[in-house]
Amino acid sequence: MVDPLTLGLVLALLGMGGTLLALFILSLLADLLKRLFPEGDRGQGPGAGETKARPPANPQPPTAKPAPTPGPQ
Amino acid sequence: MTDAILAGLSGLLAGFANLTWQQAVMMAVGCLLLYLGIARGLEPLLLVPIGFGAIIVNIPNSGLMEPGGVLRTIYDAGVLTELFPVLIFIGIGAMTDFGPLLENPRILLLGAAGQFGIFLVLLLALAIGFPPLQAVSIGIIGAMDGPTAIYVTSKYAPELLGAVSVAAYSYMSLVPVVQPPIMRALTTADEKRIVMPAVRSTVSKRTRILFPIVVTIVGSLIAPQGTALLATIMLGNLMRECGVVERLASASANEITNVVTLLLGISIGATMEGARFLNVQTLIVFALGFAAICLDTVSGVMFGKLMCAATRGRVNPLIGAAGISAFPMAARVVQTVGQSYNRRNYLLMHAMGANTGGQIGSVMAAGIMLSVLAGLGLT
Repeated sequence: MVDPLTLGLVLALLGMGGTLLALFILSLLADLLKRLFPEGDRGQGPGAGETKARPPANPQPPTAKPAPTPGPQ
Repeated sequence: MTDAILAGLSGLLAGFANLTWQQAVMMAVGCLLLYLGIARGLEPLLLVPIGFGAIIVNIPNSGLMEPGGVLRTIYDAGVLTELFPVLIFIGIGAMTDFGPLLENPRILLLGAAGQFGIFLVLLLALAIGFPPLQAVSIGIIGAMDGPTAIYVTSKYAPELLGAVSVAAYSYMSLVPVVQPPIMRALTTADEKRIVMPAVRSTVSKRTRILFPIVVTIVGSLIAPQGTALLATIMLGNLMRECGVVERLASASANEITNVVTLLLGISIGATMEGARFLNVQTLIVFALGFAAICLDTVSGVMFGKLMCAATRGRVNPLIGAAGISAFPMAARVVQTVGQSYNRRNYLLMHAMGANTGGQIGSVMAAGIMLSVLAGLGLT
């Protein structure tokens, strides 16, 4: 059983470092997916290369509603 | 005859006779939550059932939270089993568009920085003297993500569930009040005016479909204890993006989420019994929760400044504040603050990317913390 201070430091160090590293890895993988399957790449299979209808590239407005509000987040 | 009438009357008056001051105060707190939800529109989906639950559980002799009582049954079935939070996560996944994040995956790092408050407050809670598992549950308020906070707290410190849940949802609704002063204080005028180029749609459908699958596999391998949270949010998102199970995606985002939200809210309210809730510990939990949201914002904005420096001024540090999860309020706050300094600057989609990154970040942070605890043999 570790003492509270050591436990806190271990959790803080591994928690912050681990979260940052994990999300960095996920960002690299997301980037890789984008490169492997770029927009307009119409590979085989239904829907390949299609993109979903998206909001305008430069959102109109200060007043426009940005996104649907999820319920209890 | 007279005795029988008096005995019957005593049953009718028992509620008033047994009402304690703590129960009366908690009924007032329940009414306050109802007011905030109904009149002020603060997280009404949760605060209305929570407030109502807090009122009825404090009615003497109601037996709602006794073994076999209706609220106890709901609580045991959905909260203790952690079923409600994960069901809600499926709905959140089905409602979330990771498109803005996938446009610029590096923004995901802001979602990590926005979770640092969890660990800093965990340290604070340990320093104050909370036992490790309670400290973890208090720190998780910093995830700014209700289901994650409920999942972790119901697992490791169910006695704090009421305080942690109310703190988490209350502070989420206070994001527009709490964040702007911190964002303004930590950034220079030039940084606030940085214009980020418009987001162009460059994400293919295949990428959108594969992303939740890859995140589930890799993220769960990194933090196996967080699999339930990560997998459910990604399942919801996969159903949304794949386009072949629209009925399931729609049911997850609407009917299932609505029913579970009602049951979850009233169950949380039911944990707010006066005798257990009104104590100094609850006040400390609220104070630490407030520190968590502030520290999250500070770390998010500071990391945004780091990215700004690393990209030679192409990232507006304000979007770092959206890394705290609290979707989509934090992104809207960034847009509002950014436009107050440069009316031609539309940070919304970039902030949405950081905000959805924060959703993944909060779940990953919780999973990593639980996995480290398991590695230390504490769970």
